[in-house]
Amino acid sequence: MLLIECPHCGPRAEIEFRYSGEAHMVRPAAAAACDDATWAAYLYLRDNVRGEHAERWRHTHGCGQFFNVVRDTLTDRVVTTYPAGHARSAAGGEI
Amino acid sequence: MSDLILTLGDTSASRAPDEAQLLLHGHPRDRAALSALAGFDLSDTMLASTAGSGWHALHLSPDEWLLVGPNGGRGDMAARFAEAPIVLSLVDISDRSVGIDLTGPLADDLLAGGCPLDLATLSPGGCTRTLFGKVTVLLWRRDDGWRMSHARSYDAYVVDLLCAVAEDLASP
Ligand SMILES: [Zn+2]
Repeated sequence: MLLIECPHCGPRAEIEFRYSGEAHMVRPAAAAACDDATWAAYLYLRDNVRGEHAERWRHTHGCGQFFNVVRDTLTDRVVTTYPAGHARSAAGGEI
Repeated sequence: MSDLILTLGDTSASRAPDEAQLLLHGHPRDRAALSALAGFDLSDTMLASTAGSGWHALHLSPDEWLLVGPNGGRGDMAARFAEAPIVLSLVDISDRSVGIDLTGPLADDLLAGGCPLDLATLSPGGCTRTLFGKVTVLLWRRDDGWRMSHARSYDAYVVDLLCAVAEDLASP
């Protein structure tokens, strides 16, 4: 079982959390005006990286907060965690 | 009331008394104003609790405090927040949840039978939501033992699991 460091509660067992997809997905500013390809990309296109991946998790059975995790998809190792709304931290590279 | 649920040597689990529980959400930057409304200091340390005039405030999330106090005082406490000039939410969850008090030398072992949390990380006054089996529970380490509270509809499951753990601990 993964041990995930909630930025608010500290290290907790994986079963207290829910995975919530890739992090830092930015909604197109003028959603109503943007073209189909841009909107489809926002909805469906994800990086699917092999290696360090920034993703959203929610501490469902804890503080209830969403936050971000950089996890290595190859080794399942959690590299770092940081609060929602923060830029991807140094350990994981660019935003 | 203290309905006994189980005993295991000097350790026991019993029904927690009926208390008022008001769930307060507000912005962390408004903590001083929220404290003034509550009438006592709300903790800014996560997973810690503070107390004042018969009430306790459990800091369960950066923007969330659970106010626990005497049943008779719930209307008065709720009224203090009604006309507040800051953005907040106060929900009376007293009837939603039920509690179990665990006391005695094997209280930690009873909880550990269903809980993935390192219980030693919570010092007296410490509190957190976690899992007990498949159910979200609130754990609160009090001076005389643990208070575990959970949704009323899950109570039969929680009690059954607690009894199963006790049976395991009792068997040689
Ligand atoms: Zn948390």
